[in-house]
Amino acid sequence: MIGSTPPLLELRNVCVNFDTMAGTAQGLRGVSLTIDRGETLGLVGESGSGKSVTAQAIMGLIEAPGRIASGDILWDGRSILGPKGKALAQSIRGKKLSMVFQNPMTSLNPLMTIGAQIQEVLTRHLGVSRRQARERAIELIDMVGIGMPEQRLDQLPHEFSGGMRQRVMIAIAIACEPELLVADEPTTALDVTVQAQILDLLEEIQRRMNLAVMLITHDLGVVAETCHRVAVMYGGQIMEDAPVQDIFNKPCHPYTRGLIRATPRVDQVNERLWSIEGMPPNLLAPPPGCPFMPRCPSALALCETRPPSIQTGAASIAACWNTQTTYHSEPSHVRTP
Amino acid sequence: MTKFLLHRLWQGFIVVIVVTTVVFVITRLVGNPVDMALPLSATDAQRAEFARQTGLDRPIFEQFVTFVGEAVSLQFGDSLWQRRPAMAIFWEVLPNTLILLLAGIGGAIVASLFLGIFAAVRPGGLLDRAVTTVALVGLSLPQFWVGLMLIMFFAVIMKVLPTSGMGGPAYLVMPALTLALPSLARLTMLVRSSMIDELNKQYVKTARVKGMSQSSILFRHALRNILVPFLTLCGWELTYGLAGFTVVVESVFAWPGLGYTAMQAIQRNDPFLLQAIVICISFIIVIFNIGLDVLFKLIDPRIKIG
Repeated sequence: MIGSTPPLLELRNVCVNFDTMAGTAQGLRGVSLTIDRGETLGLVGESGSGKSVTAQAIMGLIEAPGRIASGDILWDGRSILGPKGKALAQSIRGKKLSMVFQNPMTSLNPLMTIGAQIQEVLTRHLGVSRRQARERAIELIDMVGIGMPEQRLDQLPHEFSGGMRQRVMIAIAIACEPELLVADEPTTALDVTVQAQILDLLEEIQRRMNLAVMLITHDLGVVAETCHRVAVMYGGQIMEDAPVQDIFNKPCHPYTRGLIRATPRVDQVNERLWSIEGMPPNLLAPPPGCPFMPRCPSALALCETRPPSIQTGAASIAACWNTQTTYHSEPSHVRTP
Repeated sequence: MTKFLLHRLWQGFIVVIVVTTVVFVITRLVGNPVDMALPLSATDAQRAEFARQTGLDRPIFEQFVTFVGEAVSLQFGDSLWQRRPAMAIFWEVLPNTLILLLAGIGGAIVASLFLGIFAAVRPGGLLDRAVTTVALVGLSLPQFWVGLMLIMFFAVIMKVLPTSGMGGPAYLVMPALTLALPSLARLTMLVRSSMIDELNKQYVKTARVKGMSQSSILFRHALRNILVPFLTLCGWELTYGLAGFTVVVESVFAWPGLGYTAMQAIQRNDPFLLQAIVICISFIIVIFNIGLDVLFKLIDPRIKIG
């Protein structure tokens, strides 16, 4: 995992707090993650688990009342947080690091032509002329599968369907040939058929541009098909981080197992859908130990204290006291968070 | 677009007809214009002679037809007060009011954009609270009082500005300021609140992850989206400025514009001058609003027309 070159993006123990009237809500509670070049990382977990907050922290979108309370985010080994990281963050955002949002219907400026919205990224980051930007925008629109690119460029977003708008968002995101694309539930707001098209498009672009993708989703089926590695989040923490085969074939964390079991399957008919008992933790007063403990079927007394990230495989970790009893008999290397 | 324009012109025509009728009814049927124009001591013979000269002795329907004809050709007869065509007076004082409107409301429009946008960048921040407070004060103070206070401070105590009347640029400062204050307050509050709304929208987040600069986000992305409500209020301010606020401000500062002249026409029992001013202002407002609608369509092509 630790090679000679630093990973493309690394989160080190990132904590994000939101100061609300009711108190401080802990959105992220010490998240550590890495993404390598060309890798697709799936970030899964239920609503409120901190997936989107992680994406926002990476993109520098955390605004008051939220703040990154501690930890660091490194791009190619250099921090992009705080006053020191500001210059680097500005130089990569929109250029080497880009993002696609969940709702394509509201993500585009309703009063700017599609062309203008693509071209402004190009003129800002690549310093190209207006004409060059327009030519490149036509190429991009074509690349994401929108017909009649030249006419479409002069249209406004309301003349596009949801799926088409998401294609435009992807065109904007890949305009400057980024190294990392953060896709925050890019298909949640779309029809099922359009979802598949958008995911295919993302996969094709990822292969063609050797792009690293951080795919945030609820959909484990999508993860199984597209991701190399999966990080499972719960209560603002990473529960398990492992290669995709391991997540599905030998999940180490009880929460991961619950999540997989709760996924509806085509071959199980006439059965009630299984769900994990209980409710997600209150982020205003999260439990001091493992956040999943109150709902965990295999909880121990030890779970009252926060579990460390335990190495469960060559490139796998799980934050659980009880992993080795189920899958690993030999004592594992223990990393403190 | 042509269909839209014809439709709006037709609507405007109806508005003008209604205004003309209302003015006619008020000046001819509510009270007797002969009594208004002549002194109490006038004899019956003098009254009859005056009525004959001005056509006020004709049947009311015939008077109405003549009146509409006059209104359409912008001929409203002679002013009783100045003994010359009412339209000549109108054209003479109109530029004075336009100067005042441009300096006052125009200044307020430009200033409100900057104040509102900078207040919206950090809602609840120091600048935002300062701007909101000043705007609230500006909204609460009546114009005639502000005008008098300005005169007392700058003209009487400091002796740096002339009290009233029209002359060099110095004469414009206080009337324009008085006219601008409530408009500036209203416009700033609108810009601030609609800008805060826009800056929280998803497309602004998109612009941020695209790495666009703050000025591009504010002036290129968000500003265009608040233009329709903003220009609607600008239109309202200019309309009310022309047809209302200037009456107060011009009277306080004896600024020889439309409002001041209209007040004089009322005080001097001059129905012909007054109806000329009222009807011409309504023409201007109708044309101005059609222009605004065309502008909206250009800004936001999604607006359905017709």
